[in-house]
Amino acid sequence: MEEERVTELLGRVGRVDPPPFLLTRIEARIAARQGSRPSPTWVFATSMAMLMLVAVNSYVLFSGKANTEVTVDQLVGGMNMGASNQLYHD
Amino acid sequence: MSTATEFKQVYERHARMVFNLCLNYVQNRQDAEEVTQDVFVKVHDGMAEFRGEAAMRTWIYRISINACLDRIKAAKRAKRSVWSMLGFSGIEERIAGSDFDHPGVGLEQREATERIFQQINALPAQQKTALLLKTMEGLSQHEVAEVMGTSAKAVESLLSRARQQLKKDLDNTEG
Repeated sequence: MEEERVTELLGRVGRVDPPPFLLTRIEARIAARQGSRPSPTWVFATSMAMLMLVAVNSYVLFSGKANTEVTVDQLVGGMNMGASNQLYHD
Repeated sequence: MSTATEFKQVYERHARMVFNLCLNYVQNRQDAEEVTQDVFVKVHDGMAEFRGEAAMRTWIYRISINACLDRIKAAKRAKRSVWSMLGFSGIEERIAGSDFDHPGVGLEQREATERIFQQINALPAQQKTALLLKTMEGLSQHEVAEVMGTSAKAVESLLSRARQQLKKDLDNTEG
């Protein structure tokens, strides 16, 4: 087939208008995608809540306030008991 | 102006161009409609970044070409997997041609045009793109180069090779 014939045939391929419903379909797809995404407010609120949780936990863990070392005397005193192992007191 | 109104204007300016480019690429009305939708969803997402009609037009051409190429690759993968499961091979090109449904092609020229499109589909993607943009979209060589992100010289080379290959393939099929 000659090149001119190819060019002629391709040149005869007409331009077509897109179907009228296409824009509606495109807009529906865009709206569906936007509906499935969480709103920025929710994302921000959740992120801040999680950050606060991590911050509080970090403070408790690393500030030394979770030190559980106690002496025997402190433990006994706190429970209102005597440190002696004698059954009978004088 | 709201985003929705702006998008509608962009659609009205470019829909015909995109739809026809997709039709020439995939040669099937239903596929072209779906690819056009894909293109404009991407356009909606990114259109705020573009100022100037020329830049937007080039950008939309690129999105359209990439969307068509993705569609064609996906279709070939799907057909290959079906046919290989059934034990057939070497049948892909014949199958690809059987979906021809281009509303811009008249009945009288349908068979000859379908044969030409089959040979165009067999070209490497870059050559096919250059040929379609130049021959069917009527872009200048410089415009084709801008869309494809290459030089005018490279486009000239692609077109020359595409035409040579087409001539060879069509001469072979005519025997």
